[in-house]
Amino acid sequence: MSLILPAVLIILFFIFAFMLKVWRKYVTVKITHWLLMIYTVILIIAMAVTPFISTDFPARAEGNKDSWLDLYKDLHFGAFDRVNPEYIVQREVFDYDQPTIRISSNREEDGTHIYVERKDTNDGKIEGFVYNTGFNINGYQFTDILEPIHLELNYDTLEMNHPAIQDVTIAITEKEFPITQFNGQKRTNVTTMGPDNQAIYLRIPANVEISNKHINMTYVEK
Amino acid sequence: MKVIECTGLTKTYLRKPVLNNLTFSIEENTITGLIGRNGAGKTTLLKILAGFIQETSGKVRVFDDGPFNSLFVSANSIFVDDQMIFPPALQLQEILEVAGSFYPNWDMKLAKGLAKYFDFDPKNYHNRLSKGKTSTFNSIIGLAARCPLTILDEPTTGMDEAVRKDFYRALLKDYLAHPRTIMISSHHLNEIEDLLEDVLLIKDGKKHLHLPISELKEWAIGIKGPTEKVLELTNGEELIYENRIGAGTMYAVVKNNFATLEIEKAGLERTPVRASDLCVYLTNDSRGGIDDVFNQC
Amino acid sequence: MMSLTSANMNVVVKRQYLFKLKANIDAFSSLIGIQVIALLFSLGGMGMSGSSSSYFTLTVRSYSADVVLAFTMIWGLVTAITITTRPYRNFDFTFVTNRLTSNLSNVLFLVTASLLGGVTSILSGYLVRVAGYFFLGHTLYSSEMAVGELIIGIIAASLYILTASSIGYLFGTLAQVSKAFIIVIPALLIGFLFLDISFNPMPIQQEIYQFYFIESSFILFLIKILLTTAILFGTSSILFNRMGVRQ
Repeated sequence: MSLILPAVLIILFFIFAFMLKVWRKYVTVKITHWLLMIYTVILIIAMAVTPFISTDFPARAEGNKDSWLDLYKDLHFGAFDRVNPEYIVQREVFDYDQPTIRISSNREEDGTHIYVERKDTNDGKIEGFVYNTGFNINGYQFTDILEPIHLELNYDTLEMNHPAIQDVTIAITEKEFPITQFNGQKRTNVTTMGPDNQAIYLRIPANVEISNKHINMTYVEK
Repeated sequence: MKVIECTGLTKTYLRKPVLNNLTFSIEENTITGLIGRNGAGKTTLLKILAGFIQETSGKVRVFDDGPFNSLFVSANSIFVDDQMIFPPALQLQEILEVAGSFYPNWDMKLAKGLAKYFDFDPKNYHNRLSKGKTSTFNSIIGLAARCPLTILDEPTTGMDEAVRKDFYRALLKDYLAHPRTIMISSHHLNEIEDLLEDVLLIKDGKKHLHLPISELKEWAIGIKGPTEKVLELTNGEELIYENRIGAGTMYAVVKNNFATLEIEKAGLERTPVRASDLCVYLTNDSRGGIDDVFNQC
Repeated sequence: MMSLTSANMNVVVKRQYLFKLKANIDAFSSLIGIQVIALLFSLGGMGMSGSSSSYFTLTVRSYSADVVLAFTMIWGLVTAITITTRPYRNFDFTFVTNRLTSNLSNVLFLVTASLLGGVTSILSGYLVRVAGYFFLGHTLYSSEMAVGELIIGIIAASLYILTASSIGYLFGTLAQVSKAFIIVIPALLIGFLFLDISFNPMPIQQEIYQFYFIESSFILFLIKILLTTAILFGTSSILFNRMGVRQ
């Protein structure tokens, strides 16, 4: 589709050029001045409209450009309190008195990073965190563009509910290269985005067994 | 004052001389006809005078300046031929306006008047004109520009008879009202004969004759009579043209060095030679034809 | 005797310049045509990058007028070549000119064309955004464009287009010197690039890229471009100065 459009328009352009030639041959009215004027007016209108239709970039990403790396590292070592609170999209404390717990996902072969911390105490509470670092595009942190995983406790099962497969498009406007050449800004670079940029951190009381074997989990190192 | 002065002017293309050691000068406020056959070098000469192309050797002065790359010469001269081209984006009326912006003596009233008389649509485009119309339009530009040196290279190409006559009449009228130096080339003298003051006849890139038209008319005579007697009388003179009419009768054109009495005494008929005929005779290669050109250089 | 006109070069150049603006008006039609095509390319699929996992596909589309500017540079090149061709040169010699004024007015025309190209291509960036928003329904993230940035962008874009046209002007003039250049120049360029890429650790085009496109000081960039265009236009002018016209 995206290739057909320009192709069609190139053909249209040639037809237009040909028509201009024929026009020149038989008609004495001049059109270039009008074309130029109309085009200029359209450009100026577009310039005037742009501020009303554009959205400001979100805040700049801090620290490591690839914030998910930091996140995984922190969670791996159980330093969940060090994680930027902005990354927390869900935080739950479930009261739990069963001896075992099952962790399930609404997706087969769920590759989500799950970090499990065994608490020292038996306080009958399972704490769950869902983190989402969003995406770092041009150094801007886009956090809200994906709907995150939702954690839910259903009797003895902790369910990770993924939303349906999401298809997200972000449109960013780029300043033209003669501008970025001198203003020191970088051009768009999306290649370093993380795998899925989410993680789940669970704090489970010492006396609760995790019953399922097939889910990938990392026990944190303290 | 001499407007044009050429001394030993030579132009060669790929070592082939087109103009060969041409020396002449043209006074201001004259109409000079440049006469010669196709390929004699008329157009090359005029383009050198207009500064379009550069001479190979020799000296060219136009308004006492070398014409090649001279803004002064360009501002004071105009070169009109049927190859004159104008931007296809401009309408005829715009072309007239642009021409007016370049030439200080431009007469817009004359230009518009002529354009109207010759039935031009001001909103038409130059590249849509027919051959004859193109020549007419270009000539209008040449006239209305009123340049001190106006060069017309075969200006009437493609024009029909009536337009030619109108054009020459307009040229003469405007010249009388606003005298200037005009060079007009043609390979046929007869159509511009009445207009000219001087004739510059070139042949094979060389100057053949340069004299007032009145003298040209007297320059040669035709002698007609029995072949033997004609040859006897003209013995030693160069025959510019000879034509054997039937058995024993001959018509010969020679330089006017004979007294009328002498001819009549020999029983021969003396006739004047029309300038246009003379030019044809003079520019014809009587002997070796085109080979002479190459043998000479 | 009709009085002779003294010819003032500045006046003649100015008249020729005005004449060329009228005569080459079609160049501006094609500018618009080229930019419209480039705009559609920009909308159609330029500046896309994506990331996906089993949970999502993320597409980042970047909207800018970079493609428009690139096309406009090509337009500048072609326009410059066009005005060196025989008919266009002869337009000048129909009226008052010499070779110097013809070149000067051509350069002035190309400067004007480049400025117009620069302004429209940078402004067309806004049109890309508006079209993306209204026709493709995207949320547009953008950082504010300062007036200073806009002005520098327009000047720099114009300078790029002017450079392209000075290259075209030299090519066109060389082609008038000898038709052989029409084949020789592209052949040399392509051959040279291939050889250069294969044998040279620092290919020439990379050096050119660094010299012009990476230069981050605007003043240095300006000096580099002005010197480059002056050299190219000057060379063309010297070449043309001995050439016959209307032959």
